Amino acid sequence: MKVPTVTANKDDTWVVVPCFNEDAHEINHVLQGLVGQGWSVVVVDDGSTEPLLSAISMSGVHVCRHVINLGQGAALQTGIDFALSKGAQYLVTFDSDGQHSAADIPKLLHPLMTEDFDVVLGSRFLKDGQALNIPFRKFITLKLAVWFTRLTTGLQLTDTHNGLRAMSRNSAMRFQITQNRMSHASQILRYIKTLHLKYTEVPVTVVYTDYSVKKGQRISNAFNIVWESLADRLV
Amino acid sequence: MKLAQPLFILAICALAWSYLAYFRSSLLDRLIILAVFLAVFLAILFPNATSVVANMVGIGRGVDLCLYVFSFATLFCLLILYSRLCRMERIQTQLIRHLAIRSAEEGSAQT
Repeated sequence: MKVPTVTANKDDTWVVVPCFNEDAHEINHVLQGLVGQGWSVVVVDDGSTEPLLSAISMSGVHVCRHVINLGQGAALQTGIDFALSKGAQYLVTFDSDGQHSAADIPKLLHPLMTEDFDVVLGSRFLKDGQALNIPFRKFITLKLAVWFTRLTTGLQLTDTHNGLRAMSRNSAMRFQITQNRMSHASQILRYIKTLHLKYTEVPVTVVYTDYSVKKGQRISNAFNIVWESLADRLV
Repeated sequence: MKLAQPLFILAICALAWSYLAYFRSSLLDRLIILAVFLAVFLAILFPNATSVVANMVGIGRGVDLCLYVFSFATLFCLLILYSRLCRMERIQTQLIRHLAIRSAEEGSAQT
């Protein structure tokens, strides 16, 4: 697939990377990929047992640290707030466990910059997207999540729980992630729906390694996500 | 009856006293809670009265009425507590986020 060229000022594009107890080698590898491409990067250390700052061995990466662990949703919102305060025009959310590819970022930004989309979601299940070495149980759970999302929000998506997404400054300022833990992905989709944000999906590659599978959430957590999503609407 | 009534009355008085002594809440809240204490107090003193009230609203026994009221009151309290918990979590998140953004640092090249 042809990777579109992005002409935007890279200082204005912030990549938000939420982290919790990440392996120093793995996180540096991820950050190298991002910094190497010239993006501005903010890492949110979500109360890791060992503060992450000392493990990061490169300059140009901003680190915000939660003094206690709040969850990935809260970490994302902290990173988004920080990036906005630094004048970010485009924001990308990016997982810290090495699942995502920095090479996909220009593909995500392209629709934001050229076609006036508000939010661009990465999809591993679109044609040209890839989910390399995906465990079968994970595949089934994600497909169920897609089905559940279509049923509850009516958004016709192919991948609903992918941490790789991009948004414009304006849309990021219009919502606030209040689901501190893992239900933030569903919450963002609900915001897309209720705020009538213009969205699209682009194919991305997600690589499952032993490390990322170990770091990833357990499949049983899907029940918690469904529960939190329902409770979110009631209270 | 001989043992239960004085024991329950003692317990309800102790609860009412500790509420008034240790919990500061709005006047309205206090009045509502005191009314509840009073109702419980009367129900202990005159158990048959609960049956009269129960019959009036179409429930067979006073004990059943007490059980229903207790169940709903408990659920109501749970809901209130849950929403308070959510609010505390929101405030805690805001506080930690504020600290995190204020004390953001830049990684430095080592070696």
